[in-house]
Amino acid sequence: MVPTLVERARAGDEEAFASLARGAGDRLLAIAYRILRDLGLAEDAVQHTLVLAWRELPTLRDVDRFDAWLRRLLVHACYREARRGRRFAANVRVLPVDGPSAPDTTLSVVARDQLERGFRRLPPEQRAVFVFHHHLGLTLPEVAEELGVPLGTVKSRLHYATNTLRAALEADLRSPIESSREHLA
Amino acid sequence: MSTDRLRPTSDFDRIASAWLADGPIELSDRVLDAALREAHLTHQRRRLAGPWRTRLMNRFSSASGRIATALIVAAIAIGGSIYALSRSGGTGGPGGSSTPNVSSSPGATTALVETSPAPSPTFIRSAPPESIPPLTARFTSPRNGYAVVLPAGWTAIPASQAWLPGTPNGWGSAVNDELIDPARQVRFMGTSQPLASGQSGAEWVQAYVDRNTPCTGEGPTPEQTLIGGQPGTIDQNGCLSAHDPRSLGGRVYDVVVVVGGRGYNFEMDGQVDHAYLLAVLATITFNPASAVH
Repeated sequence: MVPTLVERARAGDEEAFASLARGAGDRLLAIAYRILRDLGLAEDAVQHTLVLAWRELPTLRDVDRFDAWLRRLLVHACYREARRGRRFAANVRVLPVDGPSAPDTTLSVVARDQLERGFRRLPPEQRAVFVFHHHLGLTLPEVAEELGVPLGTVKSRLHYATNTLRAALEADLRSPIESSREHLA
Repeated sequence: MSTDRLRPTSDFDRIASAWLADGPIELSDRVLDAALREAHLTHQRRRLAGPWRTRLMNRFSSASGRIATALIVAAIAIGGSIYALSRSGGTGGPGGSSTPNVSSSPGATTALVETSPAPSPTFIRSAPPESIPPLTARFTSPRNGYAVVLPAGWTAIPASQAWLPGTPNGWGSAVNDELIDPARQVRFMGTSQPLASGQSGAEWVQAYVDRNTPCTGEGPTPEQTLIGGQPGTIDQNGCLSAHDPRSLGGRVYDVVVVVGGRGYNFEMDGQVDHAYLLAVLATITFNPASAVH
């Protein structure tokens, strides 16, 4: 069904494109938000992606690659929004850091806050790789193919992103006593 | 949360996945409707070059086609050389070799020849800006890792030097491949450079855009577009170029894209418009591995 819609949209059928956009919109927003960590920027990126997709659809050669092609357009729209917005720091949502609050089934509030802060320090290229790998569940070669960058670059970006986030988390996990000992030593 | 240090990989992956699971789940109708409205007002980019490009590729894919093309190229090269020698008394000069095999002679001036049957290279002076001439002649950069298809009859001056990071590449620079139509009304320029160590593609693009002179053109700036299927940026979008003594007049378009670890810059100026630019950009193919470092 999707290839048919893609083919029709590629031929200029606006209704077919609207169906594709409705079907893809939520998925695109999910990715854009996770890269940009800002709902407004993410919505702008998705809107820009959909317009660009409509304009460029006739150049898409393999309709089976529509989703991957769309995601690549989205990632570049996210890069654009990241550069244009530069609002990450201003939008950091500071959560209460009085210590671990009520038990979270998966992750503490403090850990979430540390991850959020660490993630916002990453350049958008590293964020994209991290999201594609950890959220979309793509393998690194798949990430490389989707983003159109060499595998080594993907590995490098993921490595830096992971180190940054692990450091942020581990800083949170150290107890005050442990930190004092490190200072004394 | 435990005060234990994170165990490698598994704990971190679990935490990262759990953290990433949170987020909005639905695109608002407002955004979707706005996108569809804007799309409704946006013309799709047609694959103007489709039929001729297919013929071109088929022709080049056969051995006989390559031989025929080589013979044409050789004949023109010999004829051009004889002509150049007769004009210069055999002392050489700015004309240089006129072999269309530009890949083998960087820095030389060459003429692009048709590579598909029966195109009519009637463009230029009297044509309205929206008239896109048949794009039939392929130019393969000898050192910058790309190829582009332009109207037949254009003159090519391939780059003879490397474009070093942080250095300018204005019109007339030896780091550019410059191609111009016979009436000197439209010009195309292309060049590339490797990204600096540790530099991301977006950083390279941003550094380039920051260095470039801002201007008000006919379209939004920056504009995202596809260049040979790769997402790129138009950072000068139809600016009037009358104040630049090196310009042909008309409008200037400046485009950047990063492919395979190289930053590419393409420009068109003169009697060119947005549609013409996009048609040319669509013909570009990248081969970063072939670039000369």
